[in-house]
Order: sequence, then structure tokens, then C-alpha cells
Amino acid sequence: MSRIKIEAFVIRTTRLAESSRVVTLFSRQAGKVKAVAKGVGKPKSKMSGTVELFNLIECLLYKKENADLGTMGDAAVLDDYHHIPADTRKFGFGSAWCEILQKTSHPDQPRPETFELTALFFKTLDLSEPGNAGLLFWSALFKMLAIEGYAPRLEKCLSCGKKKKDAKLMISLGRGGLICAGCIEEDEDAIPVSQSAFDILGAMGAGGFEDIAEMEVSPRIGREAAEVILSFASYHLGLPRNLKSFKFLESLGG
Amino acid sequence: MPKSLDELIEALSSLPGIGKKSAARLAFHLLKRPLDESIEISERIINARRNLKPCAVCGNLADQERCDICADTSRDNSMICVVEEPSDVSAIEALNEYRGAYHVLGGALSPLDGIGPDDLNISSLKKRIKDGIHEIILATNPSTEGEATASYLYSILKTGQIKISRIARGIPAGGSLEFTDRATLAGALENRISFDH
Ligand SMILES: [Zn+2]
Ligand SMILES: [Zn+2]
Repeated sequence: MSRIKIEAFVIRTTRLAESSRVVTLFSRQAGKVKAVAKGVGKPKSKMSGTVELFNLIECLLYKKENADLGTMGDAAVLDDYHHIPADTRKFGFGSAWCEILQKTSHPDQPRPETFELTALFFKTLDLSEPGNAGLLFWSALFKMLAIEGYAPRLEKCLSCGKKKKDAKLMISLGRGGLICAGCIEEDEDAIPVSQSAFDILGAMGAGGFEDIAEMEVSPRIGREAAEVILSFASYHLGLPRNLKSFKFLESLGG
Repeated sequence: MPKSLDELIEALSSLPGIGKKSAARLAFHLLKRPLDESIEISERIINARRNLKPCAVCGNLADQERCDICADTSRDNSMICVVEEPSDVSAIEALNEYRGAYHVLGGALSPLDGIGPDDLNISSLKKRIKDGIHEIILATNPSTEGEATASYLYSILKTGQIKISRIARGIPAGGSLEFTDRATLAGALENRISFDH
């Protein structure tokens, strides 16, 4: 039995018999962790209130060798982001981020930069205007792609090196960025984007969350940029496109 | 172990809070008692399953079209307490302090479980507030999902005419109404605060 202290985001909780829960954590030290929080649903539990979605916590993790499931102890909240559930779209996009972390992380494989990114994203989402939730979310996913080395490369055509001046801009998934009209292969897996969406993508790659939160982007342009980022995440990180949180957000309309 | 004993223990241990040991104890207890007793228990389970359905008005469990609370004419129908589950209604009823009506959502918003507004008993709540309601008490659990659900309900129900309140934060965050002791729950209900942040 090993015992380590971890710092982690709660990215999923499911109820186990009565008042216990199975908690999925995205930890700084050990990557994705699944652990049981015994009796946590009881108000008298010392861990009460800690294993809530989005919370950044510190806890002890007990684990037998080769066991899938550990046990949590001595948990304390380091940061909660309680404005996220106070707005339904923020809640949806925050949940989508948790779902992405679940799908792209593995046990014993820490992702320190993505851990920091998550802290920054949750903090910004928590304090931002509700209308910017989507933009912040897609920027965060863009930044995750950059951490993994798959950010769309947009400065110039990846084939001939010319700066973009085309009316028709194509972003190739396989080649990982901009390909001009003259260089695009006929059956290449590529997404056409407008100049405005292209500029937004550039800003997402370059800017911090504060700058992004200030940007004014029309819904149509936002969707175009989102499509590029989601396609990249799906192509390069194996992220499924049909996340449950996306369905939730669609059901809200608008 | 005989196969049917094994299967009985297995079935009992699938119940919440019952481990293998308790399940075995329950099984041996049933086997020692007269057969009629076991028949009665199984019949009661089946009857409850067959007869109970959601109340047409509030979504609480009922064996008539309306649940006992909605059918009770002495209750104050200008007040609706919105909860996640029928077990939350029982917890509040056990206090013997609240005399208004209820509305049972059947869960809480949870994108990760694929539960959106359309999956909860919300449209009938919207219809209910048209007639003579003075106050809606949002008594979803103090969890992330419960808070999100309360905020969503506030955003679609606020009209200016109806007072919308949230049970106070006496219940520890992450706890549930079901497991909260009486005094704390009564305090949270009594000290509910106006929901306008
Ligand atoms: Zn080119
Ligand atoms: Zn009823």
C-alpha cells in the first residue's frame, strides 16, 4: 500500500453505495486518478464538500500496487470556482473541460503544463462574463494542443512558405496548419476558414486569457474557429467529437 | 454454498449500504423466519414498484394520480419547494414544519452524465408557477450540480412577481438533504435567502 499527497482537480464524481463516491481526479503528481471517497456524502464527514466538481483539492491517496482504484483521505479544498455553476453556460463549458481531461489523461502520467492551464482556465472562467465562456473554453483547448505540440501553425503556408493572402484559407489537419490554395492536395483533409476566423485563431494562440476575454467575436466566426480546434483535438489527441457536455450545451440553445 | 442462497445474498448486496456480510445476515434471517414473512416482503416490493408513479402535479411518488401532499387541501399551495428527489420530500416532511407544496425534478443538471434541462421535470414547474404562486424555494442539494440547477431555475423562473429563495448554507457543501440532520435542515429552510445574486 502506497500513500502519497496529491494536489488535484475533481473532474468527475459518481455515487457509490449510499454516501460514498468514486471520484476522478486530475492530479499534478500522478495524472488521472480514480479513488473512493468513503462516507463523503454525510454532512459530518471530514471530507464533506471537498469532492465537488471543479474543486482544486489536496488529499492523501492510498493505493495498493496495480489497483485501479485508490482511497482518498484528509481532503481539503484549495480553491473552489463557485461562480462556474452559477451560470449554465459556464457550467457546461467547465464540464466539457473536465470531460476532455478524462478522455486525454492517463494514470501515472502527470501533465504539469496542462495542470497549470486548467488552474488558469477555471480561474478565468469563474470570474469572466458569462457571454465569453465559449471563447475561453476554445482558447484553453487551443493552448492544450500547443502544449502537446499540435497547435495549428498559421504564420505561412506550410508547403511553399508564402504568407497568407488568399481569399480561400485552408487549414490542413494532417500537415497541422495553413496550406495555400496553390499547395493544397485534392483530397487533403482540410478545413476552409474565413479571414476573420483565421485572425481569431491567431489571437487565441498568441494571447493570454485576459486578452481573449476582452475580444468581441460573432457567434458564426466563433463556431468556425471552434470547428478547427475541435477537429485538431480529435485528429491529433483522439478526442471524441460527441462529448456529453457538448450535447448539454446544444440543448441550452443559442 | 447452495445456488439459491448464493443468488439471494448477491441480490441483497446490490442494495445501497448493504455489503456482502450484511446481505448474508439478512438472508439467513429470512430463512429462519416463516415463509409467509418472505412472501409478504417480496409482495410489498412488487406492489410498490407497480403502483407508485410520479404525481401528475409535482413529480413526487404517488399511488394515485396526485400524491398525498398535492391532494391535501389544507396545504399552502402558494409556496413551492423544489427538490431533486422524492427522498428529499420525505426528509423535509419529517421536520413537520413546512406546509407548502413541492416540486420534484428527478435529479440535477449534470453535463457529464448527459442530464440537461429537458431531462428533468422542469416544464411542468414552469406551467405551475402561472397560478397564484408567491414563493419558490430552491432546495436542490448543496453540490456543484445542485447549485447549477438552482441557478438555472432562477434564470428561467424569475419574473419579479414571485419571490425566489435558496435554502441557506447551513448544510455543508457537498452534503445532501437526505443525510442532513433535522435541526440543520430545519435551520436551512427557515433561514432561506432571496436568490438574486
Ligand atoms: Zn503554399
Ligand atoms: Zn404531488
